[in-house]
Amino acid sequence: MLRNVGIDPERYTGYAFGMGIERLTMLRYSVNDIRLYFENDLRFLRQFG
Amino acid sequence: MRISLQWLSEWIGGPLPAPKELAARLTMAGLEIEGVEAAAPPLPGVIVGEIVERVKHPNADTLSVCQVNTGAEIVQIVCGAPNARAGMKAPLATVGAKLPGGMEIKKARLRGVESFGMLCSGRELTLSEESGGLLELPADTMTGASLIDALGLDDTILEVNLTPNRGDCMSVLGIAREVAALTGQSLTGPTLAAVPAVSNESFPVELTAGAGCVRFASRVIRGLNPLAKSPAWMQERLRRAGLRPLSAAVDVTNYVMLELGQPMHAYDLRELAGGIVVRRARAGETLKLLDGREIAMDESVLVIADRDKSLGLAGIMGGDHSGIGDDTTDVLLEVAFFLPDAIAGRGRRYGLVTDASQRFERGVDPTLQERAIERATALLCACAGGTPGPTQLAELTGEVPQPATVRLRPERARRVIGADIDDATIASMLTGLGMKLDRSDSAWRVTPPTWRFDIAIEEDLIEEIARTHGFDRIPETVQPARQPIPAVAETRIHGDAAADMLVQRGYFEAITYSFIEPGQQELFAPGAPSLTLSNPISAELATMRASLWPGLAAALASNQRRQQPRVRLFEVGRKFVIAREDGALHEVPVIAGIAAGSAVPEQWGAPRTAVDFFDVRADVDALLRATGAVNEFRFVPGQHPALHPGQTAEIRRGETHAGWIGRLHPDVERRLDLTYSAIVFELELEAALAASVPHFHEVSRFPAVRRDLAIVVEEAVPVQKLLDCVQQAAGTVLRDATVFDIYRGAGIENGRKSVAIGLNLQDVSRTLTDEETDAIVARVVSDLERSAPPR
Repeated sequence: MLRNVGIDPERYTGYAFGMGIERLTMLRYSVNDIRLYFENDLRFLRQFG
Repeated sequence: MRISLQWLSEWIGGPLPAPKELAARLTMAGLEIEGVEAAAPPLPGVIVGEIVERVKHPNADTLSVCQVNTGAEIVQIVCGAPNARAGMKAPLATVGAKLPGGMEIKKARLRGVESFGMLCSGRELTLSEESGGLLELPADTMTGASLIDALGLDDTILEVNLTPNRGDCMSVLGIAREVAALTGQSLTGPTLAAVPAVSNESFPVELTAGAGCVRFASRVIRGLNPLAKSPAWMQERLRRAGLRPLSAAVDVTNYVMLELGQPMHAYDLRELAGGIVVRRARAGETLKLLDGREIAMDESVLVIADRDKSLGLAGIMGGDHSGIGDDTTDVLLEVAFFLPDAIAGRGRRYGLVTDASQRFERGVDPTLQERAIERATALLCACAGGTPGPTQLAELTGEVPQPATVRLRPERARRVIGADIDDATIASMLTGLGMKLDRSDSAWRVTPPTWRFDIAIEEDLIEEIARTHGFDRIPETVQPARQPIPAVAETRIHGDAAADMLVQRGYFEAITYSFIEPGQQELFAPGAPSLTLSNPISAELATMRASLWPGLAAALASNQRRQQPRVRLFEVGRKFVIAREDGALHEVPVIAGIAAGSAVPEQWGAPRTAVDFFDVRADVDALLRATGAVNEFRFVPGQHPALHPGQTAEIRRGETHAGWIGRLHPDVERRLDLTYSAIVFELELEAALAASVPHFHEVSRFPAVRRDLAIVVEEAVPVQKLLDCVQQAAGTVLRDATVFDIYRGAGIENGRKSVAIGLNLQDVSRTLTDEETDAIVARVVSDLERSAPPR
């Protein structure tokens, strides 16, 4: 990937992680369904307002 | 993928770690274990019963009375299953047993006959879907043994979620290789001896698809018993892997695929004409698949064909015509290697994701075919008899993919991983994963095993070392880094700040998808060119939004369905607009909002009124005021296809478009089933939220003069126009001009309105005289009469 964008991989390295902010906030706030984040239900949003 | 630990343990030359520990170990090594579950519920009190006598129930036609041997005694059971018969062994829930549904078995009297337990179907025990009769147990099952022991149900299933690069792990063998490498135990497995040929019959195979198919093992087996079933243990393993047992031949091919990761296929030999040809499909060629669907193919797809017709989609699904039937006695087994590139994406084109295509797309070991065909032949002949011919291998030698050698510098591996792993450990890790090492130089030369299709560069090997070592065992180190304080521009209202302001005004922040349904796009931006996906994940998420309003309006509609009387939502995000002139895509950051329902939350001090244009305009004004340049903004009557023709304003900053505000068009409201009307706004962040650095103006020490004007104008004349005119005419001494009343009614003609404007006049260097003030007011009045004549 680095080589494709013209960065020397001998000099620079990196790790790619994917964890998703939704999942972290689910853990933090005990949310049990990820779809709630995109439903925009006021009863859900008010809990974080 | 579901892996039985019982099955797995056959392949490991030592005890497996406890299931939870094994799951944690595999997950940390990059094979995510999503679930660990028992293969069967506990089933206390359920044993193997043997029916010794069965007579019809004296008082019921569908029931029978069975005498059942429990191993210790003979008990009487009333049974409704049609397949109950003397001599049969079946699960018996004795008095006191608990079934998975929670039912407790008690002594009962059924139509006058006593029953001391219940004979069970597979479904009642949640062991299978079969509910038509008792679950028949093999005759050699020990009577009286607990069912869990008799069926080996004391097993755990691991649910493995594989990343696409690890196709080599899509089998018991593959997972066993990982477990062996991680635990240091040996990889064993059942003895897989070659099955000698009994006949010398073979079937010609020709490979004409080049690199797409370079190996094809086949074997003719005649004289199979078409009624034979696969053995109970095999059916049980298939069930635990999530497959349904069918016929012996199909079960065996599935079993070998699950065990070794090599998909295979069995053809009914009667239906094959001439010989097998692996070739590219011809344009327009059609094929009826095993699932009954007819598909049209083209040259990009590989087919298995005979002299006359195509038989199946190579590596994806067999054809309907040549499949195994109820009366098939002679079969041709196919065990082939297809190149991932020749299979990838082909199945999806026809909506087919099969066990075979998933494995071939990711890569099947090109040396596995002989081993798989011997294993399948042995298993099939053991349960269905038959005389196997010799294993035939068609191969394009020289075209079989060879794993490329990859350079590895252990020093670099240690540096990249950040853990001190010595050379010997690295070498044994890689050897454990099946790699061959040449350590003659400081840069090692590593050859991955034939089953690994994902090792191409040094970093791939470093990843292998890191995951085998355990990502969780890499020590934490603090990395000092410069942390400069970033500059915050005063000339820009940040989107977050704008969001906070709206939250303080009673709005909630919404997040809607950037992809919307094309019909919604058309509703809000009719005829506008859109960016539409050719392969969307769902039809509702097929086009990139040209406005945030469709998402917000959908959120409003769903909140209204959930009985919310007052909805205020906003979103900060990008809209995707294709310019009509050059077709260029512009990503425009905007803040957009929607308000509907009551203007204020229900309370005693204010009447219940619906939110209107001016309520929302006040919210927008608050945002614009934050720029410190509110006077640069104009609200100009405008027309927008999604907005009400009489309640729409375009927001301009100087001559630049900065946004929209208005009531949703009644048609749009109707189409969205909105129960009350909605006011929406949209501000383009770039234009609307550029802020001015305040510039000091002299504060006057002299008194101000206030003069009020009331002018009667046509209803259609916008107030903004009057204010603009006042500003122009009064010049620099005008501090501000305020509209303090708008009157319609008695004394004013229909279709006209009286607008009262208060002028606040002040000079910084002296007190304005009455004459000067009068002159300014006279100028204002005459300019107003000219630009907005009373008639």
